[in-house]
Amino acid sequence: MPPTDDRALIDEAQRGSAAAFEELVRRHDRSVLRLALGLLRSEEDARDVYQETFLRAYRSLGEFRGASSLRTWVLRIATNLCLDHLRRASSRPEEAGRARGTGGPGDGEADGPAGDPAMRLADDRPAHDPERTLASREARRRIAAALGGLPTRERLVFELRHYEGLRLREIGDILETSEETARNCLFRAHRDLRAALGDLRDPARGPAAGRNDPARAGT
Amino acid sequence: MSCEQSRGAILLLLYDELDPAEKHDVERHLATCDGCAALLAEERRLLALLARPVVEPAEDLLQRCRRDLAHSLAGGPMAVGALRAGARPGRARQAASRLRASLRLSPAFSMALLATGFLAGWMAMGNGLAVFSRLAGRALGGQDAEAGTTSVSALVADPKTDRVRVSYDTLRRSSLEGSADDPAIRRLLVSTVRDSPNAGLRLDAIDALRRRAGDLEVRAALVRAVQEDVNPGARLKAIDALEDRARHDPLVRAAVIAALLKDGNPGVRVRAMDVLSQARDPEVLPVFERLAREDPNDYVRMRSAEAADSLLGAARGEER
Repeated sequence: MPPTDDRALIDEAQRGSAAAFEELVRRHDRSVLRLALGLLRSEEDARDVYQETFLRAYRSLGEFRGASSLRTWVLRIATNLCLDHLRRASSRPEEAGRARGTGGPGDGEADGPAGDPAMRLADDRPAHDPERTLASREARRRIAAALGGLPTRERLVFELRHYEGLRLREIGDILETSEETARNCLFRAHRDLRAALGDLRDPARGPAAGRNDPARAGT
Repeated sequence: MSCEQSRGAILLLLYDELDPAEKHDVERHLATCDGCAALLAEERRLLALLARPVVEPAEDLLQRCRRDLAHSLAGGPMAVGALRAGARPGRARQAASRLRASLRLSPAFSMALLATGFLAGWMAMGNGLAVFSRLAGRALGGQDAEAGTTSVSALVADPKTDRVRVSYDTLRRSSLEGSADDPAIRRLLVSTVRDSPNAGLRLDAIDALRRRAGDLEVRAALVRAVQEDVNPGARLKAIDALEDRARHDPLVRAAVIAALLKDGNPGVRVRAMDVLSQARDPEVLPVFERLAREDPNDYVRMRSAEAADSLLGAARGEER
């Protein structure tokens, strides 16, 4: 579908239209949930972040003036909530391991996203070739582990830029830092991912790339 | 540009974060430097590996989140705090407290949510119609307010008198009769379009709403029917009902264009094309031209070519 502007819906929602608010939530809630699941690795925490994000958006919508896009605004709320969760988790010893991600020894698949029935590895679909499927699962597991091993800030910048398609300037705004700092986080994330996945070939990759696939951009 | 500068810029090039001059400089360097070109290829390979999100929310989890949110906004018994009470009492209390605070802060919006059947849409996966109907009952001055599970069972619209009869089951079957402009009736019709498993009822409800697409909630339900209804007849009727809005409402136009490009039914595609032709929006010309070349159906290709010609002719006429 061609891109359409949120502005008209925001105006309607600010005037009290429930249908417009519902439509706005539906437009952006998958990104919020994906971000929360990716960062928190917990369905329960991700559901909390989802709830709180949209309750806050609902309370504050009247104050939204459109300085950023609604998507950026909502992801800013979700990001701050995720960071709060991670801070709380790191202060609780029993959850600190999970908050650090799945990169460490002993962090098998059961601790990662594939172990949670509410989440699934995005490429975990049945295929005709069992060998290829197995190799694909292994590739996705390694990618999940590499992402989980990134420091929180780098992971956050990577998720927002790579999967949610935000500009580095917007990410800097969300994190209340500069575009340059966001850029450096992205560089460090890529350096670490390259180190962790340098030898990996994706056996399941087809010719078509995702909509946010920056590998299609450039020269 | 030096290799060091180029290496720093390759990732930004791939993420389209360079300004045109920087991009030009990097591309010129890459054309002449094998080492940097190899690094570009390596970064591309890595980004291709990472193209898909490694974790994608399961659809049922997303639907649960939407239902929880709908409950929370309405202050219902299954609000998030209550849901989690067993697991983390402290957090549950905090959530309930936050929820109460949120509802206190915006009573007008809360009332608007209740009055427009917000729950109906979000609870469509569960017993949305039942909740919606209870709300509708309250809107009718309290009748059926305590009713249990309900569903719309019959719908008769008279195009001559523009009146609609909606029969729905509570503990006993009830009926409402009046104009589709009546808010309570309109809500029942909207919920039928969105939630009824009965395609015949959905078709009748769309028909009854066809002159009410000026209402945002009606329009949203019709747009969703165009996008999601499994019945091609319902999609076609929903496009009909939105005909007058396609020219001025970008959401409607986007939904009709999407139907034209993606709907699997040629009849629906042709109707979408007719509606867009009448809207006379020059931005759809490339869409018509593309379909005239690529649509798998001969008739759709022929009609698309005609629609493109007609639009071009109209544009030339306006220029003169």
